[in-house]
Formats: sequence, structure tokens, C-alpha cells
Amino acid sequence: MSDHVVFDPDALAGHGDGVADAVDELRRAVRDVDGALDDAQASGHVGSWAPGWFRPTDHQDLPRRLGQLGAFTSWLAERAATLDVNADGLVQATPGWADSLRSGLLFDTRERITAGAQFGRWATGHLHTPPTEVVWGRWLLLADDPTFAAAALLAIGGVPGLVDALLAAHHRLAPGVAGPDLPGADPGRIGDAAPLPIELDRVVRLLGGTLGASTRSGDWTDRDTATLSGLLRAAPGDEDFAPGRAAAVGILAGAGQMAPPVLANLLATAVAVEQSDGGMAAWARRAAGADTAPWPRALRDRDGQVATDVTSSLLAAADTPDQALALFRVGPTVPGPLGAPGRVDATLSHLLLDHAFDEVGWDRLSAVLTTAVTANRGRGDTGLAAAGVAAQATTLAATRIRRTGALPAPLRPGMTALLDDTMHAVVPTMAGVDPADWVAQTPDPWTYRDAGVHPGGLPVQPRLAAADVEVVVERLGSDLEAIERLTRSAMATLPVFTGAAGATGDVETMATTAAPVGRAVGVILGAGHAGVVVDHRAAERHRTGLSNVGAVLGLLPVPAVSAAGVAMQQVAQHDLIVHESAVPEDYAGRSTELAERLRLGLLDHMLVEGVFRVVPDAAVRRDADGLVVGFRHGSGAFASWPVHDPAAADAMVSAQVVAHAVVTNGPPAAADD
Amino acid sequence: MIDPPIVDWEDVAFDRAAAREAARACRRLARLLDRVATWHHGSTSALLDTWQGNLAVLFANEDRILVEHMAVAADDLLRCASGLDEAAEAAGEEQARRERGREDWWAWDARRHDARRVAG
Repeated sequence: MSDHVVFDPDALAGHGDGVADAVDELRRAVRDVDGALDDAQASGHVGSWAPGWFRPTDHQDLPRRLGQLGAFTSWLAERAATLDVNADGLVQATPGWADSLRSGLLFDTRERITAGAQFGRWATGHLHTPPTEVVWGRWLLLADDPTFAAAALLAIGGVPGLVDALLAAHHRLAPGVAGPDLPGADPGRIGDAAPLPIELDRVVRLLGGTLGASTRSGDWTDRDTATLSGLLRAAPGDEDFAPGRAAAVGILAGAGQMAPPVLANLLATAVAVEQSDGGMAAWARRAAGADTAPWPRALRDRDGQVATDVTSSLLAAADTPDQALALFRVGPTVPGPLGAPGRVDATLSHLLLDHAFDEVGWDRLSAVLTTAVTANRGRGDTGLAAAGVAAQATTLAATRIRRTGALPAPLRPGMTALLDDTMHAVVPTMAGVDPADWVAQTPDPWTYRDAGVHPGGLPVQPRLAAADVEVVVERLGSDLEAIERLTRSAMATLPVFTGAAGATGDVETMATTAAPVGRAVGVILGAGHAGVVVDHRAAERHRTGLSNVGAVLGLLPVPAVSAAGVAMQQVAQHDLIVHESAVPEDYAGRSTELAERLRLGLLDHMLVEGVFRVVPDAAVRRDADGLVVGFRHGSGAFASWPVHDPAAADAMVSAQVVAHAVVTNGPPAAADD
Repeated sequence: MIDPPIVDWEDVAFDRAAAREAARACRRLARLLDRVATWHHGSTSALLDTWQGNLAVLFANEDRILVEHMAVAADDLLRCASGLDEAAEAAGEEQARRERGREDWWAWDARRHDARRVAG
């Protein structure tokens, strides 16, 4: 039993029994009165003998209403053992609760719909008659009824223009704050008949909460979910469009209380609709704020509850990878480097994934993401987005493990599978090759430490002497002119320059600056960029035709630094290293760490951490199949895959390395050659 | 000979027994409502000594509204019963007046016959 409700079930039961007896007696008496009045009127023209006489009728409803209260206490008593009532007085997870309502114990369906619609019209100021106490009482009593809430929301949504007002009110109404400019609206209120006893945002929260709570009740069915999804899908001009918008408001308001599978379904629907016509999810965003996605706000408002729910939704949606992926893709559409919308909101994904570890665990999460990545492999932006999410997940996993001092990481096999799939999704896309042609044939990373030579036959690169490394750590930001100045300065004075960037055009600026003097730029891409930046960088290179830009994929944050170190050995000729980070807060930290490791010559150590396979010796060849790009495998064979886009091949080879993140679950295997 | 009195030969269409029974039923229901309201309010008050939470508040509000409506309905029923009484009284008075009129007519008619006999 919740802390929010205290009662004596026996007293409630006794009250219910007493009411039942009284109701029986009342019903008989009412029947007698009505029959006697019928007789008197039939034979007496009573009114004509007693001017002003009236026949009362109010008594006729009293037994039923008394019965409702009695039934309520009886019902409450019966369910005392399992009842849980939240802080708003909403009965949650109480089997039979809605059944009781529907069976007419309290109000029949028609009454609930009527009352809900009336409430909705009143809430939007379109019911000019102030509610009587009776009406108010019913509204309050029905506040936790989903039919009532749905009817109210539909009524609210069915009034043209008022959803806007409602949404505005949802965010703007507060004591002393003026409400939207509706005709006759009082400051801080909506409604021209009487001041609202409650603010509209509370209305929305209440109704949304009711919807949310009802999805957790035992009587919620897939059909109900389908109904809501159908509303969300309504297009402008459809009869259900306005109710659908209202439903979106309710869904948003109630998201924190929704059953995870229902929430997952509705979110996926909203995302799908948004992708098709910019519809419902945009409404949800508007409801959450003009320029932010709903979930960050909801996360703030609800102290992570939504994140927990969404994470659980992910678990529930494991069999539908598109849906799971869609959850992580609900975020602001930030224009990417080429103006295309970014698909992954890094901060949001980070936040959600962080919860995911706690809520569903790595095994489940990695399984879901692996499925998502695999299912979306080769699907352009979608595949890249999946890979980006997966990369972030592995980033978090590594960070957590590292935080606990568990490195060298006895990470789980799922991470290996996930990273393999991620790389298989990203790299071929980046290179413009057919994913089906991408086969993992990377050498084992652990051999570096022991053999001192790269399995491919290349010697492990000598450390850069500390004296040779002058590192400038800069956060480049988005000032392209500053980037250009820094680039020129770095090229003139420093053998190694590392900076954290992420602005549109930054790499292009650096590469353009460096190209005339025969210098090259190495870009180290952090986690999260796998699905976004990589794609755009590749596209950017294709577009600009710059061949002096090399990319290193680093899918784990610290290992990404390792990769950076490796890359710098391998691509020392690149001169300029730009470190891209997915999480803005980490820019400085990661660049600093990179710089320190470079300065201290810890590259071997980082290799020993064993999370990267370095694929040197990447090259472009032309064979019987045409242009291929590949690398020499540990066995000496030249693993290759066809490249359909010479520019992509050039881009890859100019990087010289592809750092392939790999995590193993055990000690390093022996070298195979 | 004076003119004959105006007489309504139809009885008043009013079932006084039915009205009496209806008024009695109304008063009985009003008393019952009063008793039930008193009992229910008392029972609810006792419940609310140990019952806390929003549902209790909602219940108390609904109870208060219901009890108030019971009181209003009881008043209505009592007024209705009084109206029935008044109607019955008025109908009875009218019936009595008509009967008196009839008696007057018969008296006038008897006087008319007597006058004809004297004249004849």
C-alpha cells in the first residue's frame, strides 16, 4: 500500500454495507413517492389546485449516487490489499479498477465521456456555464478515469486553435504569469466564464497522468495502444487530426507514467510520423519547449523517470530494432556539417544509455543494439545512426569499466559483437563500399605488446620522443577563421597539434589551409560520430575533393585517444590532429588526455590496453575486380573489398589506418603468424 | 323568483386519497433522506478519521455534495407534500363549494316547485 493512502478497510466495508441497505430502502421509498405522485397527478390536476406546486425529481438520482459512494468504499475495501495510489490520487496497477468503473459501479461510460467532453470544453474556455458543484464533484471523482481523460483531451483537441493555447498554457501558466491571449482570458487563466480553479498545465498533467497510469492498468490492451497510435498518425485534414494532437499532448504529459511497451510504441509512431510528414513528434516537441526535444525536458522534470521508462521500452522493443533505434533518435534535429539533420543527439543518447546500463544491463542492451545495427546495416543514415548509438553504448561501457579499474577490460562478448557490427555498418558506408563485401579480417591487437611488431609485418612505431611533441590543446569551437589561424600557426611551429573541434566546416577549413603546403590533417572521430560525423566527413571529403584529410575511427573515448596515438604514429605526416568528441563537455578533457599521453609517450601502454586493432598498410589497388581498398592481414594476405567510389578509397587510404575497436573477453590470443 | 344559483354539477377531479398518500410518501422519503444523510455523513466522518489521501478528499467532497443534495431533495419533497396538502385542501374546498351550490340549487328548485303549486 502506498504511503499516500491510509484507511481502515473494515470501516470502508462496513460503510459500504450500510450504504447498500440504505440504498435499498431509499429505492423503495423513491419508487413509492413516484408512484403516488403519478396517481395524484393522474386524478387530480394537482398543479391547478395548488399554484406553484411542482413535482420533484432530484430525489430520483439520489439512491444511485449514494450507491456509487457505497460501491466506492466497498470496492476500495476489497482491494485494500493491493491498492496503490500515487501522490495525485490516481489508482495505479490495481486490477479491476477500470473494470469496476466500466461496470457502472461509479459512472457509466456515457457519463464519463460526457463529463470528459464537458471538462475539456470548460478547460479551454468554451463552456460558458460555470460548473456546478455537482459537476465539479463528478469531474474530481472521474479525474482518474481514462475514458474521462480521453474524452477531455479529445474535446480539447477538437477545438481549433486551442491546442496551441493549451500547449502555451502548459508552459507559460504559473501563478502571476499571464496566460495566452484568448478572448476574455483572465491573466494567468484561460476561460471567459469564470476563473479556472486549476491551471491548465495541471489539467494537462492530470489528464496525461491518467492516460499514463491507465496504460499500466490491467485492462489496457494492445487495441488501446493501436487507437492512440492511429490518432497520432492522423494527417492534417483528417477527422482525427485535432484529437491526435491532443493525444500527443496527453501522451507527453503522461509519458513518465506510461507502461514502457506502450510508450515505446507511441514514441516510435511519433517518430515515424514525424519522418513522414513532420507531424506529431513536432507537436510533442512544441509541448516540451520550442527548441528542445521532449525527453531532455522530461528527464529534468521527472528526475530520470522517463529515461528509465524509455530504457525499459528499449528492452521491451528488443524484437523490433527499428523501434528501439527510434527511441534513441528522438532528439533535436541539429543540422549537421552539410546541413542535413543530425540523427543522434549525443547528450540525450548518452543520458538514456547511461540509464540503460542500470536498468537493463549491458547484456540486454548490447543484444538490442546489435540487432538494431545489424538490421540497419547498409541503410544509409539509419544504419549510421544505429552504429552511432551502439558506439556510444560501448563508450559508456568502457568508461564505466575503466572507472572501476577493470582495465585491461574483461569486457563481454556482446561488446565485441556490437563493435564488429558497428564497424561493419560504419566503415563500409564511409568508404562507399557494399556492406556485404566488408569482412572482418583484422589482426589481433595483443600481439603488439609481446611481439613488438605488427602482425602485418610493420614494426611497432617508435614512440614519439617527448621532446618531439609539442602539443597545443585547443578547443576550436566554431570560429572558422580562428581555426584557420590556429592551423597555420600549428603547421609553422609544431610537429603535432591536437585540438577539439566539431564545428561545421572545421575539418574542411583545416584541410584547405594545409593542402597548399602539402600537409595533411588527421581527424580522430570520437564515439557518437560514427553514425553522424563519419558519414558527413566522408561526404564532406567527397564534396570538397580534399585528399589530405585522414580519419581515424575511435569508438571508445579513451581508446579513441589510443587510436589517436596510433594514428599519429602511423600518420605523422598528417601533422595536424583534430580530435572530434561527441560530448562537448569532454572536449577539453579528451584533448588534454591525448596531449598528455603523447607527451609522456604512453602509446605502447595504450596499445596494451588492447582495445584497438590497427589496420595499417591500407592501400588502394586495382585488381581484376577493379578498384579495391584493403589491408594486409596478419597471415600476409591482402584483404580487400571493392570500392565503388575512388574518392572514398582515397579518403581511407589517406588516413593510412583504420582503427578498429575491438574488445575481447579474455587474454590476448597468440599471434597467428 | 330569484335567478337560480350557478351550479357546477361535476365533482372536482381530485383524488384526495391519492394526494394524501403521495404527500405521505414524500414526507416519508424526506424523513428517510434526512436519516440517511445524517447517518452517511456520520459514517463518512468516522471513515475520514482514518482514511487519508486524495481519494478520501474526493470521497468527502462527493459525500458533502450528496448530503447537501439530499437535504435539498428532502426540502423539495416536503414542499411537494405541502403543495399536495394545499391542493387537496383547495380541491376539497372547491368540492364542498360545489356541493353547497348544488344544495342551494336544490333548495331553489324546491322553492320554485312550491311557488308553482301555490300559483296553480
